[in-house]
Amino acid sequence: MDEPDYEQIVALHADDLYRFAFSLAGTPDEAGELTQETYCRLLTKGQQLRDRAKVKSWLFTTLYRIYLGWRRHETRFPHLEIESVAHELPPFTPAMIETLDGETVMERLLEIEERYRTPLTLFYLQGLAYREISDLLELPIGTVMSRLSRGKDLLRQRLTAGEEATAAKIIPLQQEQPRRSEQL
Amino acid sequence: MNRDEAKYILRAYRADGQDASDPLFHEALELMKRDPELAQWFAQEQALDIPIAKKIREFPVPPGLKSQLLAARKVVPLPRWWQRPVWRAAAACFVLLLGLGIFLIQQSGHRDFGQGRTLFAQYRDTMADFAGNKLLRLDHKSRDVKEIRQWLTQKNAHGDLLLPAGLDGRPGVGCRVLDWNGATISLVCFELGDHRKAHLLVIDRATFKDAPAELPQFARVGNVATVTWSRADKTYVLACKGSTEPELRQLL
Repeated sequence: MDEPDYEQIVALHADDLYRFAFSLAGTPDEAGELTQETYCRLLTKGQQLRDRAKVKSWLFTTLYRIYLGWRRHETRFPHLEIESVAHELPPFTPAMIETLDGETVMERLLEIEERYRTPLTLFYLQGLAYREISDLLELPIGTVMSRLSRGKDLLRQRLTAGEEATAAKIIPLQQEQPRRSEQL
Repeated sequence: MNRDEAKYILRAYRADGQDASDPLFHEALELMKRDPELAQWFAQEQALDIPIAKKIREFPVPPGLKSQLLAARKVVPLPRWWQRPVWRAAAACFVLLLGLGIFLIQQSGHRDFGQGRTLFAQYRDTMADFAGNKLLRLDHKSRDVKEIRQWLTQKNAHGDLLLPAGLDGRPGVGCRVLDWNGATISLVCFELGDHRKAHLLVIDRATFKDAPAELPQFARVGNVATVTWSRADKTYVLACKGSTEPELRQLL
């Protein structure tokens, strides 16, 4: 792989690869390591990649395989089970998302089960089509679609629940404690 | 296809429209044109997907990540062919023969099968995009073009390049030596003022059978304006991001 090629590939894909890695691993250190390892594989094995048009898909697939390999051999990424949203939530609206930043959305994404989270992250990073996600995750297309659909619902629930929890923590400054006589 | 089926399929439709030409979505999108309720649902779906995708893509990336990845190139030991298993060597031979075949066919036709572009056009487009948008560092920095020429000569690159009159006398920024399928490229960067830069890429004329003639030829590569020409034994690409043809003409 010549130098302009490599630099171009770093410039084009490193950010989204890191975000995908973060959505899998959940920590900046692990995400950085996964991204580094993926690019190291590109340097050492990139000559196998004959079709340069597929480099993006190759990078995401390689990163995912590295992650699965790490997880198989170590318990690096303990999965935290989150209790499901039991009560009815108000519908999630575009105005609600505008109040959130990227870190908050990623936090909520990390609360979703991995089987929904992984295709959903790839979908929202917009780099890969559902067919490519299906190839990458080695899942039938129908399964990818169903996980995307369910994953979207779960993420919206998480985002709404997070908004509700934040709102509940806010105590208006002007609010006074009711006096005893008023309680009676 | 009914409305529920269409909704299920359209949930996998990327909000930036990249999937518009995918046949799987075609029927659902057609149904949407006839079904206002489905269209309204899809608009609401997109109104949520677009900002969520935007927020996820705004998730901050460590500022030093790209520098670390570029530095990895210097420290990662690249595999040597004799270290590979025999089957890989055999596969490499096969690929080599295949590549040779394709190369010979390309040479006879001066055309690249994949995109129907000439080989030189591939080089021009790749390097113009690289110089205009992807260039992150220079091997040697200097404002003195004479010193840049000396440095290039020391590196067995193109220190004897012929500068067009419009660039002669302008201050340099630096240079870098690159490689194109084994051929050396000398990239010289010039300061144009107002934070604008021009990149002159020099390569041996013999590298391309379809190298441009001496008469300058202008082409736009995305946001980069280019002009190409050959003189003596060298071929030149002048690339300038955000420029126009008349501006490039002033540099010739």
